[in-house]
Amino acid sequence: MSFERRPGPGAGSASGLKPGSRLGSLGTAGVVLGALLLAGIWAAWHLRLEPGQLLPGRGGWQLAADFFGSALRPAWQFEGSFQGSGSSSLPAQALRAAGTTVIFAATSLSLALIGGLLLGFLSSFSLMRGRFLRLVVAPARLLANLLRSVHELIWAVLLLAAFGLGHLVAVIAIALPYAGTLAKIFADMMDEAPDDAADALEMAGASPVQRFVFGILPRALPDMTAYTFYRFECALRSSAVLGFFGFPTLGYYIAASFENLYYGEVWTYLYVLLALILAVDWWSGRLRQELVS
Amino acid sequence: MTLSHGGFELQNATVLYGAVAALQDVSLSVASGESVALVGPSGAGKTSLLRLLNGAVVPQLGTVEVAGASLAELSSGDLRRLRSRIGMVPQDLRLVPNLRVSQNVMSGRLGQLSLWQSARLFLKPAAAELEDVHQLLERVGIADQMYQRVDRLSGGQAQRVAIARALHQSPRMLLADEPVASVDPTRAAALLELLTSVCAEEGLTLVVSLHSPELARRHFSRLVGLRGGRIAFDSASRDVTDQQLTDLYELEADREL
Repeated sequence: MSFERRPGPGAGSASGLKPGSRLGSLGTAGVVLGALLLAGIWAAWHLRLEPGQLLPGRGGWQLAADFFGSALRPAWQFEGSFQGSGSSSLPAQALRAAGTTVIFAATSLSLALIGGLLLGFLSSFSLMRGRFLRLVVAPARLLANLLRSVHELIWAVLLLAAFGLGHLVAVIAIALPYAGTLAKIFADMMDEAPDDAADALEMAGASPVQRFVFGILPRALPDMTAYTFYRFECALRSSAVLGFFGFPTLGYYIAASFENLYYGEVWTYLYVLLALILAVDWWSGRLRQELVS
Repeated sequence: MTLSHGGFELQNATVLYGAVAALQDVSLSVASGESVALVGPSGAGKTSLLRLLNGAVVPQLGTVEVAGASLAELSSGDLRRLRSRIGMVPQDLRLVPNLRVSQNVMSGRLGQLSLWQSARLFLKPAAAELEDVHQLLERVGIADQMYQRVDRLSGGQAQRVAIARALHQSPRMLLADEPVASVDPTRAAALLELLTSVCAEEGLTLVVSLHSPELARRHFSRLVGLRGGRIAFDSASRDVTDQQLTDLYELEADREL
């Protein structure tokens, strides 16, 4: 099982390393932890890491103080003559950038969802049953892994070089790795869904596809929906970051304001991004509750 | 699929799980329209025997004939058509917990529908279909729960959903594995009464496994006693002696000591 699978607090935090019920798994966890620690020490030595590097240089203290001090004083007005793309006020521009960020994220994710579902079905052993259909699973999983092993920023670099700065480039750059991730997780969820009801349907003469659609899919669907919402949150962040390449999302304005040393503006944009993420999180939480109860 | 009859015929069937024999050299003949109860302690092979009868388990030795057809010789399509006429109520029910009662019951008919028909059935069921389901649920006594999610039901209610799903197949044969394990004694009697009367009215063959020999004796005219994967006795209920039943269950206790 992948650590990515369960969204929410502590998702990435070593859920596989919790004390197991058996002493054996505790021992394994100890060995893994020890190995990770040794690897970390070796890596630090290899990279010549020194705590002293974290001490800011001359002027650095001032910059850090300015930047983090501005966190308490986000700007309500433009701090310079730079007006972005002609908005009348900073809040209006921040909201518009937030809207664009959402639009990029939503478009990317709906494309990714189509691809992820198709590839997920092809990667699922519980649908691809039978001597010949099973053969589809390995290539489908390989394709999903290839798609998601390239980060969206790298896809963006590749696609920008090939097609130039079009909106579709940003959308596809996000959609490709997200389709791969969705496919992998969807397939895992479908394969881990209890198949007892599916087997009962099979015993009542249901075809393999009916068995899957009416016995497996209903049980995997709530998890799949919740996970898609979690990926929407991720897509919002990716969409914001792609602004660094010049797409008119929040990242574009954050980079521009930062380069002009308008830290108050940077924080305004960051807070808007935070509000977006929190809103989606709240929304998906409610939806999940409705699906489960 | 029209079946000429709904009989079962087991000949010298042996089922092995690894090195453990769940059934050993079992021969059993159930005539079309007959009602039979399988009794015996847990681990005696009752579930394995039921699973043989719908082809969920394939015997390593021996043959299984259902409605005159040898299961081993059926094509997968023919096996599916045959199974669509065999209703099965598994001991662990095997319902989809996050679907409604009505949807779980309707899923019993999947074997008789194409994929598109079944998709329409789930998304927008015809009024006649819903009427059928409602009548069935009324018959098993949970019509008021028709649109409830199955995971909100009590064990006894879920049990009856599983029975309704099997009956919705319009089966020719009905197999039920401990169908009253999760209901209280009064309900158990009513539920068995329902099963036997439905099968008698419609001429269905009924094979039920029961843990309790008293219930079996009261509701069934033929008892098959299983012990350690072998048939201990197979006779009319009134001929089964108390001693036979005591032996059936006591031997297991001795083995455990």
